[in-house]
Amino acid sequence: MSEAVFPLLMVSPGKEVILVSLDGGLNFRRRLTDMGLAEGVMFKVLHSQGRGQCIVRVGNTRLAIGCGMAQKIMVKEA
Amino acid sequence: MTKKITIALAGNPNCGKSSIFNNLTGARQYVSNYPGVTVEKKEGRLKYKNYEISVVDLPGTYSLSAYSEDEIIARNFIVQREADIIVNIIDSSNLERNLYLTTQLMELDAPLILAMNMSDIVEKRGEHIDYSELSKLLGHPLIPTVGNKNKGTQKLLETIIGVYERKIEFEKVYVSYGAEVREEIDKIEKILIKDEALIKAYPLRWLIIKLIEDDRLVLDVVEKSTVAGEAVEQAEKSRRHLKAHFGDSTDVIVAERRYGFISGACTQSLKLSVEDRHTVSDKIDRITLNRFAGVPIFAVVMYLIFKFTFVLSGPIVGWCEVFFDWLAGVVGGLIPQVLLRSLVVDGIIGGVGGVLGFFPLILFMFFAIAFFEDSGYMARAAFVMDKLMSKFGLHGKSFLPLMISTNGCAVPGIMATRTLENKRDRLITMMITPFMICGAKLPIFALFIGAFFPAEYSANIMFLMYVLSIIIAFGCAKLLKILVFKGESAHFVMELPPYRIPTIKGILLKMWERGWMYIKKAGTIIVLVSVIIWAGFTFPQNPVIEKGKNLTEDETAAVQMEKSYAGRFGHAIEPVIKPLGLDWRAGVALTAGFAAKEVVVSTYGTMYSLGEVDPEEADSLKESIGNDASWSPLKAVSFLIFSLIYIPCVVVMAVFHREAGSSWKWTSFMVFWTTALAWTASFIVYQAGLLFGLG
Repeated sequence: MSEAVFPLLMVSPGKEVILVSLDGGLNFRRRLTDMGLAEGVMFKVLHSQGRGQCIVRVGNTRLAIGCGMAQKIMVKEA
Repeated sequence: MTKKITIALAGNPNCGKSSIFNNLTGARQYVSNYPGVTVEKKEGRLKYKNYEISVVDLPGTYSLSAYSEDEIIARNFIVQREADIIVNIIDSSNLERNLYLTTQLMELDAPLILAMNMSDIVEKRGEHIDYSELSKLLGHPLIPTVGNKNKGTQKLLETIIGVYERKIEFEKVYVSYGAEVREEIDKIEKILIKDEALIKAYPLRWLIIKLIEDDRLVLDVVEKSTVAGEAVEQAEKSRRHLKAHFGDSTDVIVAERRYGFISGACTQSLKLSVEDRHTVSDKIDRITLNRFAGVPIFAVVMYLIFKFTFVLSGPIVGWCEVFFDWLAGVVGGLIPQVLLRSLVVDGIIGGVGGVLGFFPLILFMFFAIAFFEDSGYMARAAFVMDKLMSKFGLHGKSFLPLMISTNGCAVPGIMATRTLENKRDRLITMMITPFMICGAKLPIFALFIGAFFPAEYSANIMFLMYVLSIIIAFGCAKLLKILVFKGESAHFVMELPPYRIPTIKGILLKMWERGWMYIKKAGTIIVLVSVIIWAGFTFPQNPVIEKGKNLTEDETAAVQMEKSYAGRFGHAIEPVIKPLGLDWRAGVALTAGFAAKEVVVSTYGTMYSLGEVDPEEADSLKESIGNDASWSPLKAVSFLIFSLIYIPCVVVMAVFHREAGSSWKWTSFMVFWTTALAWTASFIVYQAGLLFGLG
């Protein structure tokens, strides 16, 4: 079974997803990884503001993700 | 004999480092429910038994890969082994993410103690952490603490002593990166150990892993070593090899192994309640972070802060005015010597009293802001504003510096820009931070709005002024972004703390701390400058009054002021500000305001006090200005706009200069630009006002 991989931008609030890859520069990847958004991690989209601005919950951490990042965060359904 | 121990507190942002620091040292360091409040290392001392322990509170950091100024400060202190013991403060309610830093600290081979902070929240959630099991798995002593309730401090101190005296020892544990990575680690190790100075200065294992991770700053360090060429080449080779083998870049591989290690440790020691709860925070967020309502809610919150501040403090500010008038009368009666009486009554009470009269207003404002800060809402506000701010070339993280500066002070505001990773973002934010209405400018606004507008509108007009300050700041940011600082902004990711009900004690403490700063400033620099201003208006004495004119006492006082040193200075610059509707007195007040913005108010206090000959009929400063026929509401608005924008005070300029990398280019640009902009804005407002017949 092939699993569809899509950017976080397309995930609606309330859905749980697994992070597949971070398609950005080294600093971008590291920053997110350090804050808990590493490859293979499951997280939940809590709110979405449109334009990719969203709040996700990883473990017990709520992370606010600003504009322009969500299209670089590739996820699959959990 | 007492022994000296240095310990460093390291941990993620908002994990409660500063409260542990306060518990240990008895200090009252600023604590807030917002990540990134500590941007500098702070040192405190305590005596415990036979030990003198010096505690260093480091800025919060998520890992030892540093991006921003504050994180670099933390990382350098940790890796350069300046501390005997590192105490890693861990937010236990957020275990996995917090342990990510821990896995890196473990690689430093330095004595490490883990303080499991906020352990009460874990219990309240019905979860259970097996501390002794976790301690064994991580290979370091582990102490549960509750920072805000001062629990576990004693035990922590005992453990610090125990570790220092090597009475507590653990078997070292490392993250296992697997055979492939280990081989590469060994290869690089063989090269690095040849440079003794290097491995003396930095922990070897950490250096190697950072090289494999492709860490820019570590590469810079190694490039300066004697084995530079060889080491860099091998690191490059190792990275390529691992990438080919695993199909992922090395930073991803390393991170994956660390999280794997953590998740292994957590499954063995942590009993979670698995259900997916809709916490209260999530429910509140659904409203406050609503896509459409978010920004309006923020505006309403700010408006309520002003309303609250002005409505409640209004009467008390009135009493203060009455008190200082009374004080001036009483003290004036006690001092017979004319010049000395004038110094005390006109110079000090007139000047400083004008500033201190607004103290209640400042306290109420601090109270309201502290409430929202501690509640966790301010972090949300940064997120809500991110979209709007990014349109103006600003970063979501620019929000905190602007907020600190609003009603607070631009000095800590500029310091707070250290959390911005991108240099361009940081400079832009630093340049617009002084436009906010800080605690020192607030009295100017309160004074003139009070003097020229009816009391029931004062909160609303004040709010409009704040909106104007934001429009100016954002507009300038956009201009700077287009003209000077082109390029992409850094990404915005921020941790949102849970909502908490602020404690009265916490708010009062904060309110008092900031309020005390205000009083201290009034008692020192403002007194000093007030005396200088008074002297400027008082000397030279008895100017030759033209013969043939019979002047009243009031007129004599006016002539004395105009012919004084300060008066002559004011007249000299009057032509420049005349098109703005401002006179020589405004010139003196604004110039003096460069020392500190409160001085604008104290200077007017001194001037009007000197102008009033009979202390018995002295009006409050607000009434004096309101009754002065040379003012008009339009002139007052022009004056306020100038005060809002023109050159920041000398302390802010000094901090700006330092934080902008001691660049004279930016400092002089700042001086010129703010003054030019202030003049232009006031000119437009005043001339347009005249055109519409508002003068």
